[in-house]
Amino acid sequence: MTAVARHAGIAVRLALLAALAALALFPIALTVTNSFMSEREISHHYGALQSSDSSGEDAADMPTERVSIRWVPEVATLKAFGDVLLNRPKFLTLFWNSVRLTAPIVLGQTAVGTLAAYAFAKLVFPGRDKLFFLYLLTMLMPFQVTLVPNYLVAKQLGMLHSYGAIIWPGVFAAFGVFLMRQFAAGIPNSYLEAARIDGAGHFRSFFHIVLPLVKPGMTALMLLAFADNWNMVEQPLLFLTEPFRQPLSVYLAQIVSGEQGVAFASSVLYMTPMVLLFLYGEEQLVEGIQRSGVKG
Amino acid sequence: MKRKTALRWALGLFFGGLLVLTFLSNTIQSLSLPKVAVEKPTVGSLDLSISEDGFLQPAYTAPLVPLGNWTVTTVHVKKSDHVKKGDPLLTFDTTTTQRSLEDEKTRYEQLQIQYLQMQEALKPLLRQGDDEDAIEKQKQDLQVKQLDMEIERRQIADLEKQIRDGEVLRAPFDGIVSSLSVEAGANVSPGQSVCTVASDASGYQLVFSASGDAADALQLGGNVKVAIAATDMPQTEGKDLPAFNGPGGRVLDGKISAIESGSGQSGGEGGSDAKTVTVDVSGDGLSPGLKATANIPQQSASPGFKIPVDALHSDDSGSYVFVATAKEGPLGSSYYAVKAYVNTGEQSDDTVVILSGLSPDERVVTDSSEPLSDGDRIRLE
Repeated sequence: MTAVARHAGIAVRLALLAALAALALFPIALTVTNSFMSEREISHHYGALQSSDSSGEDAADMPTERVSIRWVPEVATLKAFGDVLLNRPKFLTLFWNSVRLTAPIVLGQTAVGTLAAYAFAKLVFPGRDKLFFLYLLTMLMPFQVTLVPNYLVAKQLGMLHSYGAIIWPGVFAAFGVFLMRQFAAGIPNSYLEAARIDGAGHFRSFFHIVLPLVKPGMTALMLLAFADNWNMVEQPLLFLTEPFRQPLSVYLAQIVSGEQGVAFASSVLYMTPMVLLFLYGEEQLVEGIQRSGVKG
Repeated sequence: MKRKTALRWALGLFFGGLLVLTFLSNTIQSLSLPKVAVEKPTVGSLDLSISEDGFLQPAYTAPLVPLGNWTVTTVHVKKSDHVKKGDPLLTFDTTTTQRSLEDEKTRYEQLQIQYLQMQEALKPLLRQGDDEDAIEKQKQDLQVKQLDMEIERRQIADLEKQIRDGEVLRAPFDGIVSSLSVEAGANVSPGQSVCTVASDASGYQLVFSASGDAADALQLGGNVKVAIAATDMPQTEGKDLPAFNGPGGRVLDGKISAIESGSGQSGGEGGSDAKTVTVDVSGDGLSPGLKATANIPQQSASPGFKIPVDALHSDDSGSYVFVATAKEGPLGSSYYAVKAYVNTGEQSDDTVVILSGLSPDERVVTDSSEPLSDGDRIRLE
């Protein structure tokens, strides 16, 4: 294979990847640009969507009229954002509902995951690997399969219609344990043995040796858990009946129903914390996934 | 590291900003959206009933005037007194007229003497018979004197009649003294109204002004209930007044006798389309100036949706109301003011009937904190 052919092959692959990346980014970019459109412009361009929606027919009845996609607003305005932030107190309520659901899960899952990881990776006890496998089994099952048992358990515990029904299963999710175990497994046993010889107990070993070493993993877990739970839809729909206690993700799932301008703006606001957090922990996330992957 | 700091700031600002907005959201919303009051229209006919206050006026009042420049010596009646035909009302001191009468009589005597003298002077001329011209002239002079005497006689008769008829002012018919503008010792002159007497036989009238569709719906000959409050009775002896029905007053039957377009009259409260309505009231023991309330129950002919008049606006295309329409969204209902053109029916002071253009479930904006235009987002009260 000549150098030219090799370069050409790389170019083709790059182009293909770029095209795929553009395809993936397309809805996000469209949402961002369209959030600056005025309501009038949006109803002008996407009026067909709205009218087919308001007629109350099945969602399968897609509008026959072609919807022209507009990239750049004719007049950029922050009106939609103003409308969402100033005139819709419910948006803010739902936003904080999301925070109140996600934050405990992220923190709890990280804490549980790290502690469990230490046990599964560094402690020796009978049936350890079988227990870990059993734990992993819940992760391998589709989430929807466990919904019904989760519901029944929540009912037995009297947690139905409360955030507890969502938060507790999230805190003990297997994914955190799995990720952190892979991470902790990468810590050489010699470190801990050395500490033990120096007289350190489990607490000291965990807090002074394991914890600093798994920090990138914790960050990665936090980001992944945040992304996972920030976007949850099924659990709130099942466990929370009152509309004003639902998180923002549920609202965004219903976004098709009218008011596209508001929908675009609230989508952008909804994405913002995730994007900022990802950028903030980008390095740790990549490092964490790499290390857990390589070592695991 | 710089990037991390910037991102940390961005995250902090984002959450902090949302937190602040959350705490202030209600305040912000109340500042940014017009607050409106809404009302669902009620179905029915418009109540066009009229309830107007007025004062009872006699249908006919006669102003009485003295016949000469006299002085009032005696006032026989008081205001609101009932009088019979021929009852003395005022007595005048007619000295001035009597003096004129005597003067006239003296002048008449003078004329008589002059006439006799001229007759005597004619006799020698006739006897001589030659001066035709002189005779003719003397005859004409005599004739002139005779005419003068006739004038004088009539004047005397007039004055005598003046004194005979005018010395005592009498009631021309049964009725009530509705006004009395002199007292003893006052000097009066002919043509000056000193007293008015309201005729009993003519009945009483209540005059009020009505406007709008309520006035248009009135019909000549329509029945009217006229309520008179007992406390409004004038302070008279009232010895022959019948007892009032009920504790508060009494209700009389009346009929609308005249509806006049009152546009020419000033002071009409209803503006140019105000009408002056006259109601004939019959009943015993009434007196002028009684405060009365006319109640005319009536309803609009065509039923429709009744909404407050304030809710109705109009522009070049016609009359319209703002209807609050809700858009259901995942973020809750948001309300918009939407123009709805309507056909209006009859209208009273505060309510208007909408014949078409509305449906019963629609919420009509009756009041708003700031002027609305079509499609404005609003906040319901």
